[in-house]
Amino acid sequence: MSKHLQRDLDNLQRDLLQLAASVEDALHKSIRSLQKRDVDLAEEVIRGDDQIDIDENHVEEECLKILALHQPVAIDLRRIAAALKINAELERMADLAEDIAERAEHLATLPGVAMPAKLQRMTDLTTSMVRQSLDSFVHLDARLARTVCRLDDEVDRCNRDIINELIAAMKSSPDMVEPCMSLFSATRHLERIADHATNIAEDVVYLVEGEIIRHRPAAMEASK
Amino acid sequence: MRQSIYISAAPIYSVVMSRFPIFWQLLLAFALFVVLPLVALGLIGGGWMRDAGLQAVEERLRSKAALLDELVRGQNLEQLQGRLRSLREEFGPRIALIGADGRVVAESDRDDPSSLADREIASARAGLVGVTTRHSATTQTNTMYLARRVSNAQSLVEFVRVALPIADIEKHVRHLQWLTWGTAATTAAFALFLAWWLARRVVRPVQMIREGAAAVAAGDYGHKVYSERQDELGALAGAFNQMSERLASQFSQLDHDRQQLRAVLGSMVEGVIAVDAAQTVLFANDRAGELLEFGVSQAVGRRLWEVVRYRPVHDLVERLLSAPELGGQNLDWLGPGQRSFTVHAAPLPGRPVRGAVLVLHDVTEMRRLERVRQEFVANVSHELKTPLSVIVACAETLQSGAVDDVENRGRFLERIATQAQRLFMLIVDMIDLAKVEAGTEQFKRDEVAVDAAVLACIERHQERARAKNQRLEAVPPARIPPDGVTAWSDPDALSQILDNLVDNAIKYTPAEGLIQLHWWAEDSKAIVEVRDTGIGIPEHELPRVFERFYRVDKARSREMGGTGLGLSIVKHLAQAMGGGVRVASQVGQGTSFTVVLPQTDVG
Repeated sequence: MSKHLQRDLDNLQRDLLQLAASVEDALHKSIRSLQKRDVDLAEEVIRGDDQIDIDENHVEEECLKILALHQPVAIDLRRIAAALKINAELERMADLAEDIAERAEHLATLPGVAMPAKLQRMTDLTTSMVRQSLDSFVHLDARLARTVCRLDDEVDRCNRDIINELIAAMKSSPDMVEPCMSLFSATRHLERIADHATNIAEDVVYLVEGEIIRHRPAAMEASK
Repeated sequence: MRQSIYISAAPIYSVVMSRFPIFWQLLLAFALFVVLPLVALGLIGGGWMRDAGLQAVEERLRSKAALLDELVRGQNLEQLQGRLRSLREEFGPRIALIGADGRVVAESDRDDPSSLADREIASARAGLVGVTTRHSATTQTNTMYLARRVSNAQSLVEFVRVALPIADIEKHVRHLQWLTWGTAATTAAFALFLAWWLARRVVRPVQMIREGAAAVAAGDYGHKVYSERQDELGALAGAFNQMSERLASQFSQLDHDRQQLRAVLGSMVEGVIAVDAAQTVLFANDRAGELLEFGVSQAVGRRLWEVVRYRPVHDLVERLLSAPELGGQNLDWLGPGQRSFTVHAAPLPGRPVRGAVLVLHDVTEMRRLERVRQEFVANVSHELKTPLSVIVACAETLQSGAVDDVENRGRFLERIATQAQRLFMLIVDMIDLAKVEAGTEQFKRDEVAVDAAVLACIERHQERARAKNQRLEAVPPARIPPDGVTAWSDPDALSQILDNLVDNAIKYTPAEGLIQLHWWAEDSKAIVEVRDTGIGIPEHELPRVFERFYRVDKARSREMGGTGLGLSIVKHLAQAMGGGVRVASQVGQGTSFTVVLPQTDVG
């Protein structure tokens, strides 16, 4: 591998992981703003999204530049392909974190509503999925990536329970409808973030093993 | 590259030789210096011996030919032919008489002398004598022929020729050559053995030292080689052992130092991460992994941005590495979870910059205390200001004429008195708390009957509870010890603890509520529990209810006339007694405070 390609790949890895760090941070802050009804924190997340968008564009340009300049093959090519996909997933996550922050801002103006009991568990699961999917990318750990894919079912279960709980709350008192709807959409955003983490994990499996496991349950279960 | 330079500077011989194993080098040297001269000697000596033999034969033939010349002179052919056989026996060599035309006219060993004489005749015809050596068709051996022109030839015989076989000489030469080859072969065999033996003697220890060096290189410091030799190789083995020992001791010293450093860094409360100029992690202690949530074992050798995924840290290190002249930098950072960090980054000494060291302090607790202090100051000023402003307002109203308003001034005065009373209570509570906290208050510890204290407390509060339509009751333990439940405490402190808790319970329990005081002994502890069916405390507020001035619902508490210090005083008193207090609550269900006191003097 040429020295220049190696250096460009290193820089790409750094830019991508810095973007990931920003996204993780935004995610944590948005969830905290939701739980603590902290409008300032939510504001911060919403403001920070512009920078994340700029970073995303930068990473994409870097990927295309490497493809055009070095025409990499095999693992290098897969790495660029994975970086392109992970980049897009991260940007979507950041948007969802921003949406959660917006919900948090809105919720803060409404009368207090009890947080669904499972929300904490779902939050913990989602953030750890995001974290582990990025860890699996850093360490090229396909096993960890597959674990992340399996965690998604648990998040979906939490999501269902929370929605049921919210529906019950809305049925019991009509003035809870507005805050519950906000919480409902925040929960759904969270669930979507977990899906994006799963996508990243699948990209990592592709990067390491060269096998596409998306939409292929058999490949997913293989080589556990 | 560099090696080829060395080779070109060295003598060709040693360069060529040094490519072979020592055994072959020795063997080649032996071959060059022993076998080769021997072979040369054999070849040269053989040729020389043959030449000398041939010379002798020629001399003999020459003298015989001269003699024959005398005999032949003046004789006719028939006479000569008759005498040839006797002459042959007398003379030794074969004799032939040759005519002027070169035809053999008579020969001693043949009856039909018909063959033509050869080159020797041509030479003799030119001079006096001709000599050749060739294969004789007659005797089938290599033979030397010598022809001589007969002086004053009168008969048909122009030349006489004598011939002698030279097979003997050739046999001798062959013998000598055989001897030489034999000796050379034996010597070569001996040289082979000698070379093998010498090589073995030299190579074995060298091999052993080489293996030893390989073992040391592979990490087996202190590896020893054993050699009983006293020569240079023995000395080399000794020097090797010394080196190996020194290496072992130095490495163990280094290892020890490293372990020590690692232990020191590992036991630090601060997280430490060292990176090089390319931001590769050189070292990270466990604490750093704990604070920044990464696996330390996987971190070393990776890039910082792969290990630590927090943007502020990346930016800090990048800034520092690009502008190291700025020196150490600090970062206050609200990190992951609920943690706060101070990150101090300093460049590693060296130019260009060789890396950076990050030191992370977890300042979560400090920040919390700071917040508590700020809140405390805010609370105190607020608590003091509220009654004072009422007093000031009332006083001003009175001053501006209300003092003459007989109807209303009583109300103002009453409010001034109430607020002053509240201010007084607040200050008394604060003084109490300060005294308990500072540990300056002297308690008279004694065995106190808990039963009596509880009943006395209920007595004091029954009136208020009844006013709020609440039931306040004592629930004695299921099994009362013979001399009742006792606690080792200051009786006044216990009374104050119970008063504060029951007072709170009455305040925060709605009408028709139930307040119960349970007490029992357990594991040599006296336990008193105050349970109510009040409004309860949200779970996340629970850890803070014992803080000074902390109020779950600020407006409500003040309306109830609380100072916000009651529970704080309970906590500090219980701790001063060597016990503690804990709280359990469920919103809407009620709260229970549990006071645990020692039953005997714990010192």
